[in-house]
Amino acid sequence: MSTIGLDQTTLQILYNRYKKYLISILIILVCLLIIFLFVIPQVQSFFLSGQKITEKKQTIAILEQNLQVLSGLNGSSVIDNNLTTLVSALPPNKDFVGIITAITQAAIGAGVSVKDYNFTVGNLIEEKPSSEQLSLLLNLTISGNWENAKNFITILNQQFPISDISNVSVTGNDYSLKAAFYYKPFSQVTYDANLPLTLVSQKDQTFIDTLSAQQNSPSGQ
Amino acid sequence: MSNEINLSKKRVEKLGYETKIARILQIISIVFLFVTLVISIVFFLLNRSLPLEALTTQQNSLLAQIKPYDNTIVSLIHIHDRITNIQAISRSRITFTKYIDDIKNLVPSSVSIDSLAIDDKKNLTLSISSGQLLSLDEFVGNLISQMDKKQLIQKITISGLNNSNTTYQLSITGSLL
Repeated sequence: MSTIGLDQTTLQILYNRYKKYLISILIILVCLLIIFLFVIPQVQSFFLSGQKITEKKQTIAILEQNLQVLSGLNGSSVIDNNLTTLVSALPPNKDFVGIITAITQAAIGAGVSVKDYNFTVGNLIEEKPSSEQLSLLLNLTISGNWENAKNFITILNQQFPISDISNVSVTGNDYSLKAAFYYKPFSQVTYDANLPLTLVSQKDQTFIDTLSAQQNSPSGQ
Repeated sequence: MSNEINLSKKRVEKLGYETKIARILQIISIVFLFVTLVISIVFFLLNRSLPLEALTTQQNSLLAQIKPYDNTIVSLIHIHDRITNIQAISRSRITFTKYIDDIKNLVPSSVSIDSLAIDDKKNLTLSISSGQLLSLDEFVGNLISQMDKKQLIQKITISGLNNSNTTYQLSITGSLL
């Protein structure tokens, strides 16, 4: 195995021999280095910024639209009224007074006598707010003929808080019902202001108006 | 040292070739330098001219203008949430009154319903009585007819038939459609 000694004289000779190429090659290498380290990232950044600008413009358009909608709602009581109606229908906590009122109204409206009812109220305020709808179960016995009992069920379905009858049992003129009265605690709301704001649709407004009409009619009819 | 004084034709040709290569390399390096400079300057200026910051400022300004409406936005979210929940409850309701009406309509006049129960799974428990077995049979026939037509009844089971004095009592379980 032979060894090559690169002493100063040899390097001097090599430099003199190739110096006319060396500067050009160095310039090319530096240029390549600049292209890879600076130019390409800058080009990428330019195209990425272009994409960001498109997104920002879309977001701004949404924000302008949201602002216009919200400015239009300013001073209007529609939102508050709608929320009040919906909160009456689906209260944030156990509205046991509302439940008793609903049963009484339904019984008066239908002309039945309420024999007995029982339910466990428990804590009036949920210790751990839940985002799920919850219900309070009630067992109830009413007495009357079938037509009156039917009216009672119909009226109770239209009373607030909103309820759902899950069992019906008939023995003679006694009707035992199991009803669930629903409530739903207000959940922690997180929203992204950059997303389009959804207003209450005409269909939903009609639904709320129907609920409001039911609320204002004591017998639910 | 001997190469330095070699003026042969071959040597002169080699020197000319090397000079040509060196010239080509020089031209390439100048082109590279020029292109690199031009691209760098162009993209630097383009990047500087993009209105990203102005748009961010505009976005922040709009967000600040929307901020006072936070409560309205939260109310809207609660409204949508409650509408969804109330509609879901309304949809899940079982029309017990219609079921009971339909069953009552199947009962012959000489048959009386002693007890009737429908649960949330639409399971039916029914107890009827009559002085005539034929009437009870008619009622069972009506139920089977409904089941055949895939109306009202999904399945029925006669769980018992009792006779006390002159009254026959029939117990039926089943499930409703």
